[in-house]
Amino acid sequence: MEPEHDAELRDVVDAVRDWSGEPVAAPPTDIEALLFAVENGAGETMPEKRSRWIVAGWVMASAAVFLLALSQVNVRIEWGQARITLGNDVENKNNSNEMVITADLERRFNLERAHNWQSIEALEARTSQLEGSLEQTALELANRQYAESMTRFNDIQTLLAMSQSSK
Amino acid sequence: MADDRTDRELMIAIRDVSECRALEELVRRWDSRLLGYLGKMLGDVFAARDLRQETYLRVWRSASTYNDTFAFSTWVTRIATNLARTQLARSRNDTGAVSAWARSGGEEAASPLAVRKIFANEQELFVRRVLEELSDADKELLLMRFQLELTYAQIGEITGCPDSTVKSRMNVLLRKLRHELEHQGIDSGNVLP
Repeated sequence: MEPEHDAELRDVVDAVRDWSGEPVAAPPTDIEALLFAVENGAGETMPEKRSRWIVAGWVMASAAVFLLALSQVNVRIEWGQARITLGNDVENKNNSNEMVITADLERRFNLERAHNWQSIEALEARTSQLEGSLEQTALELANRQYAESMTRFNDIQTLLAMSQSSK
Repeated sequence: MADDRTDRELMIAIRDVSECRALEELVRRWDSRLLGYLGKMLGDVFAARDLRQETYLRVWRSASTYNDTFAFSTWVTRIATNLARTQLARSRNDTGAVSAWARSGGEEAASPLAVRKIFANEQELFVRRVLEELSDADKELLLMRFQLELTYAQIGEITGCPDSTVKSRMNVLLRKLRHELEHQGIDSGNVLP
């Protein structure tokens, strides 16, 4: 049996019913305002609002990291005629690298060629110098031989003259 | 045009399709009951109005968690009760708070003066004071049963006790009230309007 059906308690129960049933004087809920609040997400407590912002912050940070990661690789999304390319284009990157290598090779080749030319010129100069020196030496040798021959001829002429005079 | 759906069906409409009209209908049905319950629990009309609004907002926001094997009345009462308990704990911790009566001083029906006008009979005033000075748990029990008209099983679901325990608590409480009134020399039969 429910306690309130006890005859002994009937009067107390009636008093309690009267007390609990008394209307509280206040205007009814403004339904329009309530629906507006509901549709605009009101009613969230401050911690809930704060945590929503924190979550949004994390989502944005994650999206930024994701895009940054995508920019480091080559991603191409095609949807019909539309095409979105993210990150470095491999072909462009290869072409760019090739050009750098070619330019570097060319620079090295030019440097080498210039160096070689300098060596050749130096050798030519040295050869020319040696030729001049050889010619000079040969001329001096010829002059000495001529001088020596003349000395011998003169000595022989002297000897002949002395022998004829002694006869 | 009146909506003939049950409270449970209206709540399911809110949960499943976020139907604003269903919320509107539930507010119409529960408005005065919830205000009465919260007003008596808190003893403060302004706080009761705020918590009534907060209760509806929570009903809407937590709709996805509504288990339709339970009655809407149980669910909404649990929400309102939790809000009221939090509010009561907060007001007790707030040492500098103005008393609830002072805060609701502008509300004629809630002010001591208005109470005196309505209940000229001193005995009625005494009965009222005894009821209002009950512990929160006792007041909660009386209001759930006699104001919100919940069954003992539903009260048990909300308070987490078997309904036999709830009945037993109610029995003890009513007898204690009767004894207190008799002790003050009041014939409880005379206090009724």
